[in-house]
Formats: sequence, structure tokens, C-alpha cells
Amino acid sequence: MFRFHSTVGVMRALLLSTLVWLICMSSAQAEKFVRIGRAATPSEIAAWDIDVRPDFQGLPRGSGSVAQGEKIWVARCASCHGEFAESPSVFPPLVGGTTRADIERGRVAGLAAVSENSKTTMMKLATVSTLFDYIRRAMPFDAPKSLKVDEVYAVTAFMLNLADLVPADYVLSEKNIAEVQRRMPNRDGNTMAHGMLDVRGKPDVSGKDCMRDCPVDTNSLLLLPSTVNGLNGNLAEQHRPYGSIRGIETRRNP
Amino acid sequence: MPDGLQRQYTVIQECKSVITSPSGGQRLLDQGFYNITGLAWSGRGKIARVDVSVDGGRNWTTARLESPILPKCLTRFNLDWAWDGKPYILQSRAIDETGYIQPKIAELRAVRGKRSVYHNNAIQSWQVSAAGEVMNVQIS
Repeated sequence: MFRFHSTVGVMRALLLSTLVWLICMSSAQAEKFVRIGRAATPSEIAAWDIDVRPDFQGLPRGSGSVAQGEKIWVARCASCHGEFAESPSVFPPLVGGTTRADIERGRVAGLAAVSENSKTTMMKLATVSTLFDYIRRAMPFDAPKSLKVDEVYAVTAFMLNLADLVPADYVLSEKNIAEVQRRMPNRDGNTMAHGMLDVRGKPDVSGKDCMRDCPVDTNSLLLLPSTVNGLNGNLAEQHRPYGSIRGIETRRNP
Repeated sequence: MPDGLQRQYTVIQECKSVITSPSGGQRLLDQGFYNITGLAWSGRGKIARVDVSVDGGRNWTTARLESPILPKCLTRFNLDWAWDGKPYILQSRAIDETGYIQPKIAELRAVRGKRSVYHNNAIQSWQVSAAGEVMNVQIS
């Protein structure tokens, strides 16, 4: 018994002294590299620290109405996303494919369909915090982070109205965004019960290692259309001009 | 997923390989020796084996792996090939230490449908024409 206690005691002392030693070593390292780099200032960190969590931690104070959002939308967003966020021309459509039944249930039924139609952002999105976060950090595409916080609220409110989640006179703010979350059509549409979250997870599909006379269906051979060959410039110029393998001569399409 | 649920936080990149040479956009100047080479990797550990086929997956030969073979790291594979000027379809298929075998695109689609975008770790096919041009093809 005595021996057991002293072994535990020794282990604890060893662990503690190792931790202290590591801390001393890391600050010694910082002194060693004294002219390389510097610590980020609090305001630099604050400029980066703009994420909004699903529990709304990080959400800045502010507000914006659907009407204000519409003005911003027409000026900054419609050219890529369409007047009603429905355009598939530049990017996949943002709004559409959700029903009142989805809002009740919390799962978008259209996601289970085998339809060839695009799945819109509002169909897939589980958290309104993500919508706010993304618009704030990444939109508009040509001038990310140029929207003020109130403008982000306004644009978000406008999109929510287009998706029939809030009425036309709605003013979105940090006070009522949680009740919007409760109406998100796909709020229960995500699962972590899959094999790609953990290294030891079970894959959903695996192939076969047939080595001889394997079944192959060579009737269904698909090629890319030749119009895309030039999309990356002249491949011949991007390969070594010597040796037994060269690049194919392709031209950027006019 | 088939029932409409979305996988969240799909952080594991599953076993995949691709032939980097000869590959799409290249052309073989003449018949003769080529080193079919490429890279394999797996988020679940080390690469255990890479097989290469030149006939679109009908017959396979195990390629040599360069060392060190480390978990989650890019692993290079090589296979000697004498090109005789005929058309071929080159493919590589990786197996990682868990026994997982890189699937064909048809096997992936059978489980995930045709609208799945990310995590496409299916076998990649490169078609070598008689003229020596190598193009990106898909055998579905």
C-alpha cells in the first residue's frame, strides 16, 4: 500500500515538473526568436474574431429591416443572385424549395428527392447564425466585409423574407434572431452520425480489389466536352518543353 | 444521405489515389517506356497498397510504393509501363491500412446518388489515345 501511494506521488510530481519545464522551455523559445514576428494586438485579433456560433455567441448588436435589406440587395447582391435570390446563373440559387410543412417539421423534404434541380442554400442551411456569419465575412463577392453590421442584419432579414420565414415588415436584431432559428426549415437536417467525423469511423462505401478479368462497363465512357480544354490556358506552356511527356496545346477560350 | 439528412463536419478525407503522369492534359511523344506515377493518401492512416490498371479496370498490377509510408501523408507509387501506341485507360486504386478500397465512381454514386459533390474519392480514369493524348474520362 505504501509503495503504491509513493509511486502515484512520484508520478504526480514528475508530471507537474514536466509541465513547468515545458512552460519554461516555451517562454525560453520566445526569447530565442525575439526579432521574428510579434504578438497580434487585441484590435488585430478583434478584426479576425468575427465568427458567429449557432448559439449566437459572437453575434454583434445591431438591427436591419426587410425594406432596408431590399435596397442593399438590389444595389449589391442581385447582379449575382437575382432579384429574388433565385438565380442559378452565377451561383446556385439561395432561396427556394422550402415549404410551410418543412418549417413545421425542421427537415426539408425536398432534400430527399432525386430531382435534378439545384438544392438551394435555404434548403440546406440548418443555422441562421451561419447565414449572418457568411454574409458578414464574405459578401458581396467583390467587396467582402464592406457591409456594416446593421446592413448585414438587413440583408439577412430580406433573405429570410424571400424564404417566407419572416413577414415583410420584420426588423431582425440580436434580440429576435433566436426565434428565427426556431423556424429554419432545415434546422434538424444535419447529422454527425456518419463515418467521416472520426478516424475510426465506418465508411459508407468501399470498393473491391479484383485483380484479373474484372467486370467493367466500357460502353459508358464519358469525355469532357472539348470546349473546356482551354479553360486553364495553354497546357503545353505549363509542362516541361523536353522529355517524353509534353503538355497538350490548348488555348484559353475567347 | 438518401433520406435527405446532411453529414455535418465531414473532416475525414477517405483513401484516394490519382495518377499524376501520364494524366489529363499531357501527351506522350512516342512509344516506349513510361513511369506511371501518382500519389495516394488516406485520412484514416497509411496507404497499404496501390494497384494500377491500363485497360480501364479489367486487369490490375500492384505498383511500388515509395518510402517512408506515413499515416495521412502523400504516398508516391510507381509502375513501369511500355506504351505500344494503342489506346489505353489508366487507373489507380488505393487501399489503406484499414482495408478500405478506393471505390469506382459507379460504386460511390450507388450509395451517395448523383448530386453529391464533396468527398469524391473515386478511381480517376485517364484515356490515352493512339495519338498519345491523355484525356480526363469517366467510366460510369
